[in-house]
Amino acid sequence: MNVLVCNDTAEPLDSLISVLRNNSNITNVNVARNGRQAIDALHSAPVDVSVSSGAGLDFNRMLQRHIAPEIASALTRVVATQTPTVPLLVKAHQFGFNNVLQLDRNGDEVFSTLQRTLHGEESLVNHPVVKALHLTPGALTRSITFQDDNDHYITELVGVGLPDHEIAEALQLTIQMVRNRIASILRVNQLSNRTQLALLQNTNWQIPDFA
Amino acid sequence: MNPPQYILLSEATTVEDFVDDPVFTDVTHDGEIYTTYRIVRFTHEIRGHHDDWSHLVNVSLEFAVGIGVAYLRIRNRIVEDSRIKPQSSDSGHS
Repeated sequence: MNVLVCNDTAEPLDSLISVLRNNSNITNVNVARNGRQAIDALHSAPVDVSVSSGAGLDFNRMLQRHIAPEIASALTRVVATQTPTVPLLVKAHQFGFNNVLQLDRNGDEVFSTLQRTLHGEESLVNHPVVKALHLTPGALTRSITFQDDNDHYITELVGVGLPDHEIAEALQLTIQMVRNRIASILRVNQLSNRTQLALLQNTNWQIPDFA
Repeated sequence: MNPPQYILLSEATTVEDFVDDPVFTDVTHDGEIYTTYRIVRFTHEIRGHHDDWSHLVNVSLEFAVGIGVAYLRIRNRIVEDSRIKPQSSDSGHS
């Protein structure tokens, strides 16, 4: 198993790195200390599992947009954290992570969790809290698809917090049309609710590459 | 307060007699969930309803299978608001 650890300063994963390096079942442990290193590592050699810290969750979500689709789709992504809180679990699920790993485990337990996650035997999707929420996995990793300019404008205004009737007034559309369009955007993009659309619109960032 | 009047509409009326677009979206769960319906038939005109509902209609789900009854508030041939009527209730109160 080849593992890439995205090690950030906010929640360092040094102890996990040494646990992984001392485990004979793990072939290679690569460590990235910034986004560019992570992208280069993923494109230069096969990686089975990438591990990020809970603190690096938002950054890692953005990073996904800069990885070649064939690599991103084959990658198993795990969040490692001392405190797997409910918000972290839900966020990780919505950001397309496969599992959450608690950091106080020994080497064999860590390997077992990573291997079971890699083979789809253990997944965030099956966590009781996540399961009860009926959310689409990875919903907040997508880019929103728009059918026309009106869809785009409506979503921009949903993203700044306007209610439907104010969007209708601002764009000089009928309330009936605004709601039909929002329903259509939610359906086409497989989103569960309006808040997800607003959130996705506001986190639809790309990292500028100045290199 | 007087009870609202429900005036039965002729079966000869068409949906196009009342609205420009027969498709509307009902919003529920604190404004989070959007469900799209198609008006199949206008059955009643409502007068004097305290929630300002103006019509009672038969609807079908636009992107799934299902039928129902909806209270609509129609102004200038536009569906301004809607409430899908619970099957067991006929009060129309929200």
